[in-house]
Amino acid sequence: MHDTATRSAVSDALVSFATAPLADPRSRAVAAAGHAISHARAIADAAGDTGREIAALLRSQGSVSTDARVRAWVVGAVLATRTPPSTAIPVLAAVIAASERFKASADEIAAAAAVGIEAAARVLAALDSEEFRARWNVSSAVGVIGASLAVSRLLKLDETRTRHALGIAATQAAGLARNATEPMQAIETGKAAADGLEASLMAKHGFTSAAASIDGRRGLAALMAYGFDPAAITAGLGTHWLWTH
Amino acid sequence: MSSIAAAFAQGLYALARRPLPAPVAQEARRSFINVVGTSVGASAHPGVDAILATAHDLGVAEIVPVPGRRERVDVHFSALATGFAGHLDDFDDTHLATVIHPAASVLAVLTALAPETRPTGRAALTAFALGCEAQLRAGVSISPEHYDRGWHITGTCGVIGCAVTASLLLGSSEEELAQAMSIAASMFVGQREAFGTMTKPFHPGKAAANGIAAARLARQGQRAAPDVFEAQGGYSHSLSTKVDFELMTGELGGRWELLFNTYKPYPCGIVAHPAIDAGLVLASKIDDAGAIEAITVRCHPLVPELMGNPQPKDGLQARFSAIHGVAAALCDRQVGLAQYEDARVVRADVRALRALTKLAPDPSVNRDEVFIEARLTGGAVVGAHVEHARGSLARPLTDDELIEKVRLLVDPLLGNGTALRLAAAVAGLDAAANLDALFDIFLPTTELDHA
Repeated sequence: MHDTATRSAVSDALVSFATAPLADPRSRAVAAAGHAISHARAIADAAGDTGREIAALLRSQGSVSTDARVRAWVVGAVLATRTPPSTAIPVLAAVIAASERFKASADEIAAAAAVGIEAAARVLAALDSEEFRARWNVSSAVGVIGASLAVSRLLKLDETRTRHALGIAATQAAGLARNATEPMQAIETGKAAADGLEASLMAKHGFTSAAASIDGRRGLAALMAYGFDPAAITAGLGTHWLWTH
Repeated sequence: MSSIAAAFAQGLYALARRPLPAPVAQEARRSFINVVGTSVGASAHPGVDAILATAHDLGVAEIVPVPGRRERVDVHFSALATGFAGHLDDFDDTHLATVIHPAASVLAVLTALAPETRPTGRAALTAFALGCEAQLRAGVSISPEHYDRGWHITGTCGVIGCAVTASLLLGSSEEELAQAMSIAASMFVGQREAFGTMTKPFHPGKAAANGIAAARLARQGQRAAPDVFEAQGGYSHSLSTKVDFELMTGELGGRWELLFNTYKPYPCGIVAHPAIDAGLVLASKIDDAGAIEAITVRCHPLVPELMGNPQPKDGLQARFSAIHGVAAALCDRQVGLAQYEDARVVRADVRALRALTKLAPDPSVNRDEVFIEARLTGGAVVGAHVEHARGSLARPLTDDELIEKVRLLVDPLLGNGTALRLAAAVAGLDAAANLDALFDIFLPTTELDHA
């Protein structure tokens, strides 16, 4: 039997951050996230041949053009091809694809992106080390967390469902450092957007997952990181924006 | 020197060109019918509902069925749902050396891709068997460190096997097969923190979906690093501190890990299985369970440690109660999913019998062994000795026992006689021109709407 944790300060903090009203909805971070979404949309729209090639590649999965999961993957892969590696890429791609499919205001979209980008930046800060970067594709492995929290917010999931979404996303943290210089890097990073979006929708429909998916004994940090500083996630979350400082 | 992926693909591709050795084909058929049973048996679970509702929300194409269901979804969500259902309740199969449950994910690839790829029965069985074999070999090459650290090996290695099954069904070249496995290497899924939630069986489901995506990407010309298995920062060394590639690529066609697959007779932890066997033997010797005054189960000390709940209050708790298994065996004379339903677990008859039953741990008793003794009204004592539990490597489930397990899973959902028709179809796979007859059996018919 496995003595799974039933409580997690890290999950509590991230879930609360993703579900509660923002302390300052007019903050610089939210404005910056809104700008980042517009910028990302412009890049995805103007990707030209690269965009068409990636879209054709990923659509070959047999999906239809209205499929928001594949759309998230395409946008994420395009962004990862045209912009420097970042855990924000899966967040932006997932939010763009989700907001095309599900109704949301520009303010809601900006807030969701801000939450996801900040959460991913803090999870990376908590896990980061040379050993961590030597093994994994950081953008995809951590970005999937932010993507899922952002989409959960956009879908207005409650705390319980957001916690499950976080777990479904965390268990899919993937992507390898060896592919960092290969075209696979973009495929991995785009996939994190698709997986984060899917995780939130499954949780919305009642799918369950681990309570301590990041800091549990068999969770993401224990398996993938070589040091873990939970305070980097929890301290000042919601009031201090790591991402824009 | 060729890369690990290239060498592995070369060996697997060569195996795919010739008939499976008879014992391997036989074990593949057993693995296949077992997991068709578990995937159909769990097809009405709320987790499957959630997966299919997600597909609907996302606006996917409605083209591929899911065993046991009427809905159609795209290939991705069909694979996700089937792989999830197959492993739900941990009732599927286990390769003991790696603790991989290999068949749920590769069955999911097969059922999702068969409508499009139309394989013959023989090609389907070969793709299924080699998908199992590939993931088991990937697993043994990083065992036991990988699982011990906390990875759910069924998902993390399953994705490699699923890329193989998908590539073979899609008619990929040897080079595309190598690329598919290399792409799949960075699509691993599964952390053990999620055990006890729907996310555990999600792992083989998503491994199936990811394996299909990897195979398709490879066919479209996508490339991963050629040394993605053996390189630093690659699959094997990132996921394990101990790696032995000889166990992955060596003796292909000589050593078959699939031959060591085992099938669970009861939907609970394997540690409780000898006690349940003993309960069923006793049940055949005792006409009236009401005449029992006391039961003693002399067992390995791990049984009370891992399965010691004396009076479970719901189905999940009952899965950690060897005593419930014994009581259910004596009351119902069978132990399947029905004996672990919440309502069954709390009924008076099993509660009373559980209260009369005690576990007596004894270090001299083997793990797959049990001695049971019941004292009856009037003083008679009835006993039984189970030397090896059913479903262990020393006493594999017989074909008849396997079909009986599948019958309890599929007949209640798809109608009486379904398991027997399934068994006949699987036995005849080698000669089948396609899988249409098989799909007809495990998809619900409209008549059942009125049943």
